[in-house]
Amino acid sequence: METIRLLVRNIVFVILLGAFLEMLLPLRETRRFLEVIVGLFVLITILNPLVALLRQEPLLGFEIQETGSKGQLEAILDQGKDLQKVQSAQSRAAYGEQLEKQIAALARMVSGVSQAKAAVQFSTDPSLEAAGVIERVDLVIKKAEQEPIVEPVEKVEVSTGSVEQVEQFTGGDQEILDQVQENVASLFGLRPEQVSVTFEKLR
Amino acid sequence: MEIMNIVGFALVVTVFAVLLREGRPEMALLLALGFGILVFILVLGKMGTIINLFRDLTRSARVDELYLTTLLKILGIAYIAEFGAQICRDAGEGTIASKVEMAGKVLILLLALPIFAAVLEVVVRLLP
Repeated sequence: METIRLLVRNIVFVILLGAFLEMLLPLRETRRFLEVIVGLFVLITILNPLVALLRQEPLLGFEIQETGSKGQLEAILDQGKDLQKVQSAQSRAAYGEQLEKQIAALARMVSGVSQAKAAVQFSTDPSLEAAGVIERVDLVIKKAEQEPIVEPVEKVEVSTGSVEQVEQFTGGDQEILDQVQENVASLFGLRPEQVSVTFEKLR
Repeated sequence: MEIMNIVGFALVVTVFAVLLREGRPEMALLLALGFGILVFILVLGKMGTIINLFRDLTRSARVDELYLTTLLKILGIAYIAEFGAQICRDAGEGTIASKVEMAGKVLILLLALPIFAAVLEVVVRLLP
């Protein structure tokens, strides 16, 4: 658009110039000669930018074609896609590893759990929105042995406090599993059925 | 009103030339020649303004100034050739006048050659 605007402006200027020049021409023999030359001058001034404009596009197309053949371009694009897949897999693996450590640490915080090992499955959807979305968590925990480390303490009567809390610390296997499942699901925004917790018995 | 001065002066010179042509035709010719040169010098100063306007227009139109210079040279040659030929005709030398005009035309064509070449080049570039 800008090129056309400039072209029109230049044509107007050149026509004005030609008209002024014609007024200056002598009135006799040489006038015809000069009229032809002034006409050529106007013609060349109008045609030059037009030709430059017309010649510009094929040159650009030629340059693009020369950059590489179609096969080469497709190979480069394929390489780029492969590289993107590798990078994506690497980043997912690193993210999963960190996440598994976090989940295992979270499970170990539950009373009665001595060791935990987590395995995270991510969504297989390749879209960007689904990147890093947890599909399933498999957690294997080891129950702590109930060996007395310290001398049994005397009975202490506590008048206040939650009874449930006490029960948590002294609860059975299913309670530990439920507790771990609930903690992991609530912290990572998962449904409880997405978190599978199993015991690995000690030797 | 410079035109009034020029026309008045021209009338006086014409009367003198007519008077002189009877007895001293060579003096009448010299008188006409002198008047022509005088008018040419008077108008030359004004031509500077016109040429400056042309140069400004050329720059605004982003046209190569070489073309304008060539055109102005051609214009100058045309005027000088016309002037010389007219003097020759006034002296009764029509043959010499036509030769002057022919020389002027050849020189004009010679100077116009770059413009012709440029037009030809554009046409060649336009053709596939």
